[in-house]
Amino acid sequence: MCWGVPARVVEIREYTAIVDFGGGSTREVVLAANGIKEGDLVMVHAGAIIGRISEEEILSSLELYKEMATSLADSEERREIEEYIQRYKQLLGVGHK
Amino acid sequence: MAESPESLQVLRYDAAAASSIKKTIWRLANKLGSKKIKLMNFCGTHEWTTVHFGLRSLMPPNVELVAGPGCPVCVTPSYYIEQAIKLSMDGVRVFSFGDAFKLPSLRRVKGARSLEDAKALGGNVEVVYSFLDAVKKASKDGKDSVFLGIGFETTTPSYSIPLYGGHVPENLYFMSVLRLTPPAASYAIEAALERGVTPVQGIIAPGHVSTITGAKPWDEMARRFGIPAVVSGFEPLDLLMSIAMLLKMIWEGEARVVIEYKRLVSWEGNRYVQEVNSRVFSVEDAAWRGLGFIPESGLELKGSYAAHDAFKEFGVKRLSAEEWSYDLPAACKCADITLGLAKPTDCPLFKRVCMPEHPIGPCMVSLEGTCAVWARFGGGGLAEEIAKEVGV
Ligand code: SF4
Ligand code: SF4
Repeated sequence: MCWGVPARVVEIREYTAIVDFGGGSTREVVLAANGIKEGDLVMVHAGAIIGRISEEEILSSLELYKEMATSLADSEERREIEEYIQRYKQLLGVGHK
Repeated sequence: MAESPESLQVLRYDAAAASSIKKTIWRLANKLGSKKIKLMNFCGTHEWTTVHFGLRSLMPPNVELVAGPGCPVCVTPSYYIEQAIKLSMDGVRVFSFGDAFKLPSLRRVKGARSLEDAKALGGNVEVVYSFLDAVKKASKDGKDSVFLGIGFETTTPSYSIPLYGGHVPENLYFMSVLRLTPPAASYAIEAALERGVTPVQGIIAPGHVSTITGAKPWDEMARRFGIPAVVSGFEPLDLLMSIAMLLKMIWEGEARVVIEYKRLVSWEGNRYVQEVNSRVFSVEDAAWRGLGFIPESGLELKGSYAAHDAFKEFGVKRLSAEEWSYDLPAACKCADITLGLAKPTDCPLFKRVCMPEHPIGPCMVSLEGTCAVWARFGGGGLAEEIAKEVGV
């Protein structure tokens, strides 16, 4: 019952929303967060939208980690870390800002 | 921005990233010397990720990952399951989530030991995906119904928002067995201190519970116990990063909270849900299965919302601290497992008699129950092997 599943908001209704879990599977769920818009990526838990997933912030956990890891790493490893964070940025389409 | 949820997949599994983070973890663990470092999670989904992706096998010998109270299904007192069975046998329609449907009670009620049994014996039980589905059904057919309201903070809005908005029909009653995570987490940490076993030195705080509560309660706990906490996401890389962050804070002697799961969790949490919850529910002392009463750890309907209270409507008594008695089957170690004091392989019934297809204790039922997770993914002796590696 407790799994959080990410989904895309398709339609906002009175106190509910229609979300798309991918692959065309949609469902009506309770809207339990402020400021949710159509098209947002959200977390659905037990039939309610509990929050918006910030796609920008996905990177920030990686940055947070990078900062910590590089302060401890040797130069070889530092390069590895840089490399995979770069790869993620590209995957997320924010690579070359 | 890439099309998501695929964009989330970057955190799923990346061998290079995992190995680099692993190096960082080992380096930090090394600095901490040989003394055992115990990190506790409070979420069944974290335990699932830990076992499913074999994260324990990546840990240095002195770092031990333990599972705390992380599954609301496992901790629902047997008494309330029994009351739900009874109502269903008396013809009241009982709505339940899928895993609570299978949850075994301690005592048989009219021959049934679970809602599933009750249904097979003619009880009126219906499994639904969510409270909203029950609201719709009950509105349509007008039948007297009870919803078995299990859950932690994360599940509260699926109940409180329809109630607050006046969308719940008069014929749908709510049996609240909602429980709060931070009080149970404190209880588990204290239990380890009292029993004199290796104390918990770091908290892996539950990401989805914290979406509602915010990181704040974990910061209070971190300061109170003098240990660090990281609010973590659920992908393997999230957890590995969180573990590395915890070790770093332990090494630096910091006792505060850091949010790793920034894509969903803020310091304050979901203020809208907090506000609605505070109008619909009151916080009460509540019973946890196998553990007993924990102060201010449960939610009950209050004010005008009590018109939907299944306890009142059907004359079902709430458990009191005096009446509560130990409610686990003999030999079942769910209580100690829930507190992170034992592991599933310590239970003589684990995978011999007690299996996901045939659960004896509550931790074997829900997808997130620690025993169920170990049984499903730790098969073939791997669980023992992992346990040996961790040295528990
Ligand atoms: S309610 Fe959320 S945080 Fe708690 S066990 Fe389930 S998924 Fe984890
Ligand atoms: S294996 Fe079964 S009986 Fe043993 S502790 Fe786990 S749930 Fe309880």
